[in-house]
Order: sequence, then structure tokens, then C-alpha cells
Amino acid sequence: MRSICIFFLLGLLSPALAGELRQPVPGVHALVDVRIVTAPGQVIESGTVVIRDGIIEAVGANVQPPVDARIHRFERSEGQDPITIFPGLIEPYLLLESGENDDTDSPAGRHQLIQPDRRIRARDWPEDQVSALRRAGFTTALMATDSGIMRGHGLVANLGEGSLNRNLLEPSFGQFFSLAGRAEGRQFPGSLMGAVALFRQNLDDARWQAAARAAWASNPAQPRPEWLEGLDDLAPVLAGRTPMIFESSDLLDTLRILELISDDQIALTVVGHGEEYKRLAALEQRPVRHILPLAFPEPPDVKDEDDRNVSLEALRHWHRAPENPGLMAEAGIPLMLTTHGLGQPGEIFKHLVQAIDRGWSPDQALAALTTDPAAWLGLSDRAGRIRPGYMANLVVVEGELFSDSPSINEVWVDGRRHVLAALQPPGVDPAGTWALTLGLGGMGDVEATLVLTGPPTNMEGFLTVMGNETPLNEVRVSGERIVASIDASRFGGSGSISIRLDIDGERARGNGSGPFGEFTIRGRRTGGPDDEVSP
Amino acid sequence: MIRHSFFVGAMMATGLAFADASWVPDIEAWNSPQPARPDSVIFRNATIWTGTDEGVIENADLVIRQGRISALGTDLNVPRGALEIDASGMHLTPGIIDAHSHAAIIGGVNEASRISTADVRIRDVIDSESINIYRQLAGGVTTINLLHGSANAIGGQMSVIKMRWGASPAELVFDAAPEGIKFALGENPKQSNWRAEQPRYPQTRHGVEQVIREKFQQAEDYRRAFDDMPRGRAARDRVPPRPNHELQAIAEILAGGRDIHSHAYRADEMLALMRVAEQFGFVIKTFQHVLEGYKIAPQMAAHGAGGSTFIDWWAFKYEAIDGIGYNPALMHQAGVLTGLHSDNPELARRMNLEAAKAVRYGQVDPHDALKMITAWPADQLGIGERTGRLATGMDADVVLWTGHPLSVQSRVEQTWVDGRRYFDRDADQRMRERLAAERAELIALVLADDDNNGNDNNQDSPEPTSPERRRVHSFAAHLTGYRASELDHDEYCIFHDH
Repeated sequence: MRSICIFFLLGLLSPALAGELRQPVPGVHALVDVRIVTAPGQVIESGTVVIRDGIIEAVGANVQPPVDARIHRFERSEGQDPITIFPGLIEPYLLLESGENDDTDSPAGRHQLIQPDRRIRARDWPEDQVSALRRAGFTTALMATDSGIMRGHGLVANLGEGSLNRNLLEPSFGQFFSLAGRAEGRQFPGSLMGAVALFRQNLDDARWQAAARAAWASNPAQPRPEWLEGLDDLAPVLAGRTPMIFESSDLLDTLRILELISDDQIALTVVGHGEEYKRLAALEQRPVRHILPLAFPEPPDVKDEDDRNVSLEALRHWHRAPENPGLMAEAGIPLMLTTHGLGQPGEIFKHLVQAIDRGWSPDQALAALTTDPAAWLGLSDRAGRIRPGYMANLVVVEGELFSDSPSINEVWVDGRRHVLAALQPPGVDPAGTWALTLGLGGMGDVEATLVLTGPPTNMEGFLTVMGNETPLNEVRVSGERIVASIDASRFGGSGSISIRLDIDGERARGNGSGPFGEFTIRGRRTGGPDDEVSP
Repeated sequence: MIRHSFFVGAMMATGLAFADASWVPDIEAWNSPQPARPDSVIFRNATIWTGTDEGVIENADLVIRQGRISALGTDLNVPRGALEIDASGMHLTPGIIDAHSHAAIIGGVNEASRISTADVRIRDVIDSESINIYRQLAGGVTTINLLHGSANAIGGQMSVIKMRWGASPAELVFDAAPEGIKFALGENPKQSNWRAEQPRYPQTRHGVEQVIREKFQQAEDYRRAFDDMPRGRAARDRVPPRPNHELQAIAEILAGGRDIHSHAYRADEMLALMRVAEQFGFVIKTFQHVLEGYKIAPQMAAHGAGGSTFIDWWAFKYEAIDGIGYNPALMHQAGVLTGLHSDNPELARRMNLEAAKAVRYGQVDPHDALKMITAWPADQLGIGERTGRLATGMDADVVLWTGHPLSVQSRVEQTWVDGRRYFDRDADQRMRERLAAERAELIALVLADDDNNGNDNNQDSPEPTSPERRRVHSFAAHLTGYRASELDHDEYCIFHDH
């Protein structure tokens, strides 16, 4: 219906209507006059990034924004740091708490710590962890479950709003392992060596199962081998078709894992611990890819000269820990970084600064957060860089990204903007009742009423759509803009719907996005703050 | 193992009491470089305890070449450029061999779940970073046998290591040592002294014997399944037997490729285990603790079982009530290959005094008493051709004592392993000065860092400044210098010796 209308309008194109057609449409954006780090070591000092429907359409110094793009210009006044656009960061090790979904009663012959067939499902989507990572500039993650010895499949997803359904990139990547798992009570295994034995037996069982099943398939005239549930899922990792991601708990654990996995066919990746520098020679001999947490110790308390109860061991580690990434890189060990082990993902930046101060190359550090994990995850053609055809996953930073506390103003995931920057003081008072029209694209227009009460610095309100009155989760006024969000479950979706409205006197215009897609908003104020409110 | 469990229960009931054992050694294994191996070394004018038929040789020299003993005696040619060590007035003995230790194991000494855990391996959990290695070097120990605990009838696979302080776990392993496994009889495997929500079968001594017998029968069947597999072309498209690491290890015992070192106290159950072994056609290599060994010494000697015992630890539980100080002497007289072990990382630093007590109880010849902590435990572990004696061709695992090695007044001056000086009392003293300087430098760096950043976080931050902060069970407060990871997960085992 709508496309017919547009066709009709195009046919009757008149100069008066042309201006109207140049209006920006949802999903098309141009970030203009910005510094762009397209990849580690590759910088465009002033250029434009064009995004269309979640994909980067053009990048360059001389790119003209298309006519239908919404222009994002970052006004800089004297003394303000320049704005730089970075590729969205990639988290290669996001662990999800295994909730009650886990089978606690394993059938006979199955050990509850051995779950290679476990997969993350839509209901496991870690909304809070996703938004925390996104606030720190991460736009893609490899995620897995945090319990057991054989923990199951990983999954690669973007860190956008909405559920797994909207964000999934790769439903199965890698198999995850740890020797930290113990059975409860006095069950096997209750010790580290027991955990190793259980791991080793199951790895052998998986190899045996593949051989035994193949033998029986080609020669059925013999007793059928018993079937061990779950172990078939180890076949890709044993064949080296997908990585074995092994979390190490300490220095000795790393050496143990390297000995345990001596099969060159297995693509071993070790999740490190920060003490690798202590026995680097052992790692240098076999430079296995590492996912490295950057949790450096706080300085030991030595202020009180009479009570320096601090070990030389702790002092040494405090001093040496920031050298670890640089030393590992120098030893030829491929590195990726993770925020795993940090209280907040954003803490990674101050540790990055320390590591770079102590000898790590900034370009290598950025690569360890972008291009390296992208390549490892098989996403080199769509993530980790700002390049046409890639996913529009961007970080908009004021000043340096590698600083103790970088000013990340915006994070874009799949071409959707998430504004994080500190708010400007309110420039308007939008209190009152607003009659809005939501343009839902192919679904046509929907009328809505927005009621805002309270002072601009502390507003609340509700949105009524088709008789469904929904309170606003959050509403803030920044300059002349209103930013608000609504719980999407009211409309049968997951996550939240965010709304941005620019106020011009009694008129409002803006857009929104949520699990069902993007929409435009336009409307006007129909009643002042003191008028009787009728929802 | 598992001795104080009722005490643990009481502690649990009254609430856990914790204490900070805050003293930490300044040396760490990872930054301790491997000592140089001089091409040749000569110890001059020492009293040499050979551990062989040569006996004790006065005023003699000992030459090491490329990590091996190349000559000993008097009037030896000095190799050109040899490192000369004046040992006048001092005694030279073989490095001490501790045939029963848990001193460098991380992540639990017992896999206490199943009655048989033959599939677990100490090799996987060797703790190269444990300060015990350095401390025991200072007591003259050069090789230890890391054994699984005694919570199950068939325990884990053992690992014999040399005390190469600073080396990685793989480098510590003594390559010449034959494979072995821990067995256990009596109160521990039958859970006399520890409770479980669900008691485990068996709960009696004859039940333990029955379990062991049954496992050997299963292992025979397991081995037969593999032996019966067709070979070559006929093997194609045949479903292979499923691997079972537990039965594999037990089958290795039957095939003569894995020695049993069995924890045991009482005579009756040791006789029972020897009968099982004889029925299946192999020999029990040693009984460990073996407090009633004196009662069955002739039978042990006839079977070929060695005895690895305490000299004067007894009566700590009911089955240990018949222990006597004369046990080593009596076993030795009956022809049993006898040794003294520590089973405890603290006792292990003074093994020479354990040997001295064997002279006191039973008038064992002093040289034979020394063999009870050197040559004979080496033979029990199957490494007697490589270490435990001072003879030509042996590994240069050598201890230099200030005086008679069985005297309370003597101490270790130097301990050599593989011809490398891993412990030297003078060097240790000098190292302390270097460590103090390093400490002062690092503290200055912390203070400068605080000033630069205007940091005040130390005042406000109650969090531990080090991941290694030790919180130790109150009755382990005397244990200092251990890393948190050594104590955290296994209070159960740290405090449950034998």
C-alpha cells in the first residue's frame, strides 16, 4: 500500500515535494567530519562514515553523505577533544552464569560436569552483561556457559538491544573447557587430579565413540557399541574444525593444559590468568593462542613503615603484571583480550594504558580487541574494521580510547546508535501532553500520546499506544532532546524500546528503535503541564 | 592420610576459626634460575658415606663429571679446571630419598570419591612452585615420591620427582622412575574416621580385600578384550573396546609395568593383600607405614615386599596402636628392604634424625641407618641404579654435612642434584641481602606510584592487596610460607597425614 503511494508520489514529483523526499529515512546515517580509525594503525584524520540498514556503506575522507542520510555532526568547541570513530570492540570470552536450566540429575553414564552438547539458548540471553559490555565499547562477543569441565558450545552474537534472535551471528563456535569443575559432596571428582582424569577419559571416549560408530556403520554384523550422550559434539574440536577454548586458573594450570592437549590437530586457545610472564619460556616453545584477562593487582599497601605486611611475592607481581601482555606478544604468543575477571568491563582501559606504558604496542592492543578476535571468530569479512560492507559496529570516542577512563559518547551496533555521553543541561521544558504519530514503515502509522510530568531534570511519564498505557522506564532531557525508554515486554517483545525526540517549541520530531525495528516519530504538544491529563 | 577427621568435625561444629599465616618466603620457584652444572667438581678430604659395600671412607675425595659421579676414593687425579670444594672435617652422603611424600601436590592429595581412582595421576598436579622443595633441599632431600592419599583402596598413580627447585613440573619428573600406584588398606579406605552422607562400600577390612580382588579380575577381562582384538586387515570395521583409564592402570600392574605401594598398618590385612598379589602373579613393591611389619617380617621378605615406615609415630589411631620403635630394625634383620619416610613436609626436612633413631632403637649400624633414607628407599622406588648411593656412574645427588649426618648438631651445607648445587647455605645467606634490596626498590616504586597518581586508595581499600593473601585454618597457623592455592582447596588433606 505504502510503496504504491510512494510510486504515485514519484510520478507526480514536483519541486515543492522534492525537499520533502530528501528527509532522512530510518536506518541511514552519516557520521561526518570525524577522525576514523578504520583498523589498527589505519587512520583517516577527517572523514565520513555512511551507514545504511546496519551496514557500513562508505568510509573515507571525501565521501559525500547520501541525501537520505541523517547527518551526525559532532560540534567541537575550543579546547574540546576531537571525536574519533573506532571499530566496535570484540569480547572473545563472555561467560554466562549457568542458571537453574542445568540438569542436576544426570542419567546413568552421564556426568553432570561433562556437557559438550550444551548450547546457549534465546532464554539465556544475558541482557545485563550485554549492556554493560556495550557501554564499554564492545559490540560483538563470543559467549559460553561458566560451569562444568566440558562446558559446551559457544555462540557469537552482536551486543545490540533486543534478544538473541536479533543479534545472533554464529550459533556454534568452539567448545569450552575448564579443570576447575568439581562434583558436589563426595562425588567424583573432588580434586584437581580427579578433574583431569575425568576430562582425559571423556576426550578418549569421544575419540573411541567416533571410531566405534564408524566401524559399526560399515559393518553392522557385530555388537553395537554403547552410545555416550553428548560426546559426539566433541568431534569438530577433535578434528580441529573449531577451537578448544580452555580456561586456565593459574600458571601451573596453563602448563598442565599444554601437556594435556599435545595433539597438534586440536586448535587450542587458552584463557589466561596474568601470570604468564613467570614461565614464559614454556609458552614460547609452543605459542598457543591466548585470550588474556587484564586484571592487574592494586598496589600493595606500604604506606605505614612500621606495618609493611606485604610479601615480596606480591610486590613483584604488582610490578611485573602490566608487562605481561607486551612480553607475551614479544614471545610470539597470539593474543586477544577479554574483560573476563574485571569488576566492570570498562576497567580494561586503565589496564590497557598500563600495559602500553610498559612496552605493548598500541596497535597490537587495538588489534587484540578488534581484528584479531574477528579473524579468530571467522568474521574478518564483517567485523573488527570500519570498511564498506562490514557491520556498522562503531565506538564514538571523545579523545583517546586508550585512556584511564575514555569518554565513549556513542556505541553503534548494527547501525543502531546507543548514546552514552554525559547529558547536556536541559534546554527545553517538554512537560505536558504530546500527540505523536509513529511511522512504522510497512505497517503504516500509529497514533500515540506521550504525557510528561515533573521538572526537566527529573521527569517521569507514560506513553499510550492503541489504548495501552506504558510507563517510561527512564526519561531524560538533554539540551533540546528527550531520550526515553520503555519496557518492550508491554508489546510482546524483549529488551527495551528507546525513543529520541528533538523539541522545537511545540513541535517534536525524532525516532525510536526496539525489538521490532526502527520507527519515526513526529507530533506536537496538545496540552500544557497543568492541564487535566486524560490518558 | 586422614587422621584428625573427628577433630575436623569438631572444628566444623564449633565454626571455622581462621588465622592469617602471613609470613611468606621471598624466593619463588619461577624466578629461581637453574644452577650451573660445572663440567667437573671435586670434594676434597671428606668422610664419604657411600651407601654401598664400600662403607664409610675417611679422608676421601669425590669427583663429579657432567652431572654423574665419576670417581671416589683417595689420591684421585683432579680433573683440569675442576671446581674444588674443601670438605675437610665434613661428611658427604647420598641425597636423601623420601619414598612417601605429598609435599608438592596442588589441588588435593586425595581423590576421595570412589573406592578405586586408579585413573587419577599425581603427574597432572605436581606443584613445582611449592616452597617445600627448597626447604627439603636444605634438609638434604634430593628425590621424593609424590603419592596419592589413602582414602581409597586403589588410589592414584604416583610420581617420583627430583628436587630441581625452579624447574617446571615436567622437568621435575625423575625419568628413570618406574610407574607406581598407591593402594590403601584399613581404616582410611573403609571410612572409619570420616563420615559421608552415603557410606561407601566397603566398610570392613575384608570388604577392601574383596574390592581389590574384583578390580584385578575386571582388569584381566579388560586386558583380554584388547588382546582379543584382531590385528591387521581383520581389525578393519571392528568396534574396538572402549578405553577405561582406571582398568588400564590396574592392568599395567598385572603386566608388571606398575608397582604397588600400599598404605597399611595391620599385619592381617598386609598378609591378605600379599595373597591376592600372589594369586594374580605379581609382587607388592612396598607397604607404607607398615607399623606391624615386625610381626610379619619373614613373610614380607619371602614375598619380596619392602617396608617404608615411621620410626616413632604411632598410636594416632586405633590401627596404629601396635607400632614400636624397633620396627625398622626388626624388618631389616628379617631381610626386608626397609626405609624410613616422612609422609609430612615438615618431618621431611630432618630425615637424618629419623635415621639416627633407628640406631637408638635396635642398634642398627649407622651406615645401614643412613641407607634407610637413601639407598634402600631408592631401591624401593626402582631408582637405585641412578641415585641413593655414592658410586661411579650414579647421578651426582650429593649432600655435604657439617658433621656426622646422624647427629642433631650437624646441618646441611650444600645439596647437589644432577651435579648442580641447588642449595648452598652461604649462597642462601647472600641471597637474603639481594632480596632485601629488591624489596626496598619495589616499595619505593609503590610509593612513587602513589605520589604520582595522588593515590589514596590504600587507606580506604580493605581488599587484599595480593591474590596470595593467606587465610589458613587455625590449626594450620604453624604452616608458614605456603601459597593460598596450596592450602585453600584441601584443608581436608593438609591436616590428615597418614
